[in-house]
Amino acid sequence: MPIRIVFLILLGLFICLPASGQEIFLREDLRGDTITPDTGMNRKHYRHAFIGSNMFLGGPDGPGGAINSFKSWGYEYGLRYKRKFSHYYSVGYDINLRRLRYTPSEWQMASLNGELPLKREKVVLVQTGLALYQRINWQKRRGDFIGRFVDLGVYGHWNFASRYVYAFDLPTGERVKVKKSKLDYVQPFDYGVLGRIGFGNFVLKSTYRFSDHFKESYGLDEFPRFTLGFELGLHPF
Amino acid sequence: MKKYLILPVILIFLQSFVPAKAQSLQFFQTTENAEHFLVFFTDKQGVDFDPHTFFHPKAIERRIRHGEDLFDPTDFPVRDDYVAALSLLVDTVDVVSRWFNAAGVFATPSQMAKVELLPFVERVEPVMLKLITAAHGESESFAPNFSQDQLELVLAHIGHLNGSWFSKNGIDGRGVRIAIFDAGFPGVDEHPAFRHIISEGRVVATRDFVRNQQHVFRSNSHGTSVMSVIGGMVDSIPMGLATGAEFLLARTETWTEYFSEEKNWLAAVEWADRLGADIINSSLGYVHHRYFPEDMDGRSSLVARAAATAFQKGILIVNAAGNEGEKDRWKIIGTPADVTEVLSVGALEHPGMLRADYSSRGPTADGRMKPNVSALGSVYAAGRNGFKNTKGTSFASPLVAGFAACVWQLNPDWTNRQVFDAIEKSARLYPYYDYAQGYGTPRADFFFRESNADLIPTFQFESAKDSLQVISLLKSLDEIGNDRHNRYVFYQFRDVDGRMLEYSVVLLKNCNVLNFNPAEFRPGQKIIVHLAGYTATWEF
Repeated sequence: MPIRIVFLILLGLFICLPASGQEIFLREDLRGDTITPDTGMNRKHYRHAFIGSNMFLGGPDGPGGAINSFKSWGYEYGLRYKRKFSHYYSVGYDINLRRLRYTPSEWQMASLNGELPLKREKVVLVQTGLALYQRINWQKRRGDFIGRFVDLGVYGHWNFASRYVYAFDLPTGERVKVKKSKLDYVQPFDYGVLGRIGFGNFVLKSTYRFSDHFKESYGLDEFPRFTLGFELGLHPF
Repeated sequence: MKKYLILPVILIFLQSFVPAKAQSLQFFQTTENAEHFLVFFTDKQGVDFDPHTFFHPKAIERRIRHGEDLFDPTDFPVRDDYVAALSLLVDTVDVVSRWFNAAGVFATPSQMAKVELLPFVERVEPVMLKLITAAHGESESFAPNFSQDQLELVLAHIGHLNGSWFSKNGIDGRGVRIAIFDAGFPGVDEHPAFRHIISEGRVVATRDFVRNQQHVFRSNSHGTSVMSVIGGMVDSIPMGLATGAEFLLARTETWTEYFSEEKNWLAAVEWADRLGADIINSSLGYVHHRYFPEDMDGRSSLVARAAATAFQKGILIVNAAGNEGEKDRWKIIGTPADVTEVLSVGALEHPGMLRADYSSRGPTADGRMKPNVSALGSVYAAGRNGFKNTKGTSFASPLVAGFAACVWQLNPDWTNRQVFDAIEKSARLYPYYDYAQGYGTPRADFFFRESNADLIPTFQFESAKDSLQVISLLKSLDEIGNDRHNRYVFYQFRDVDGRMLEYSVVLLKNCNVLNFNPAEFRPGQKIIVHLAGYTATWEF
């Protein structure tokens, strides 16, 4: 930029400075104060992010679906929208990104790997999806905060990435790690119902999956369908 | 590598249990489904009431001074049979309010459904909520000896109010009874800052409304700090103006920042009334956990109604504006600072003496001016064992409460309304005000000068076709003296209907104080300017 133009811009800024170059200590514009906002934790509209983690509960559909519960977890990150209709009732949706990791305790896919015993094995599903929910708040009067609530809803996910990882030792003692992606036997979508109970930022969440993870033609046993976990609402306390 | 990614997530979840502990009160109440309610009764028929046995003589004296009826039905006791019948249906009855003819209960929804069917129950209101004490963070390092900065600060407690005018005239709040509502007063009975008060038996009564007992010298030290800047002493230096006042100490809150119920506040205000309190200092405020900013209209909250009733009975309530000024979520004053009859106090920074960023601003939801006045928010105060630097509107409020006690001692025949109005008029900016500091800091010299009307113009408006200038009439900045406050130019724009549109504060650097472009204003709009004690208005 030519220096002459820079000079003219600076000169213009200098001329435009108000109040004779006085040092401003405080300035409050009240013109917008009369407008009642419709966005807030207990207003008409509210959006916030959340993170969550869950474990898998319940029995598998068959022996091949048994998992090690301490090594099987789900993690999610999402954005939640809430539309308030009354002190008691709201509806909304979540958009989330979820990673499920199953560590089979005695998994059926082991047979595909020959006679060598597996040393390590996991199935990872990465999903994105949408949940629709309705919310009941039971505090009759509360200010602009989330409060205590119960959510009931449905969800659907698209498994956009899947991976099967296992490891075994060769007779020579060398460990071999195998990663397989885009698993043919994984269903592209899953769906189910969800329930949440919340105390402000802290939420207990449970889901039940109606759909199968695996295509029927492969004859694989399903992993547990229940999840139980926590969510942390990333909004002010 | 992935293990290291997972670990922080697990830690976040584990960590989430820590604050969850703070919410455990709500959680367990929910599992029991019990909540706090206030049950209002239909009548007080047939109750016996003798004001001379019920009230402390100072409460009788105050009512007479304010022209209040000694047989005001709001003072009649609640019918015992109603309370007894109620107690059979709920978990606990913890508060009984004469003023509201009501009882506070802890009960489940199914219990409350039965309560609402009782023929003598008029209505029911839920009252569980969260309360924020108005302390805004503090240094935890206790210092038994003054540093130079701390000495300057403690002298400023009184200096910025020109409080030496009171002390040199022997005014220290003597004979005035101040009630303090707070979260606890540990150390007050032993701390050297209060030795002069304790030794003279001037802590007249105490009540812990949380534990329903008399002992209050425990729990959170917020109240100890507040009391110290009303009437404490450090190394023979007064920390507040009312070193000679009497005190009623009420613990109404469970701990600082935190859960409480308006019920305790209501019970405490009636207790203070009965014991003859002249002034109540409440460094507490209720904000977003139950209310919206638009509820801050001086009528919506229970404490607002209780505060207004207390004023009717002659009590002056001095309340912290709140520390929400930096929070976009709330920003304005809480309740009961929103009540017209409550003297709401904002906080000023030290040494700049302009509004502290954290200090909640006005106006109220219905456009009334708040805060009313401002005082220093950064103080050197007594703590549990020693002294500490702390800040918040919590401490601006008691400085003004002490000031009010001195005004009342000086003018014992005045009503609370007269004291309220005089404090506003004494303030530095009066009649100018804004929503950051109200009328500014009260000044003790106002009460000793024969006339306060001889104001000398410090500036004038000069209008030209395309500019409006505010020109200083001061020949030089030296004419203002060393008082930094006099170098601040306060100005605001008013709409045709009188509504304030914008307010600002700038530092005076030369004689051409302000320039405005008339084209930006509509006919009937106004600019109001204040400089060094003088206020003038320009109307377009």
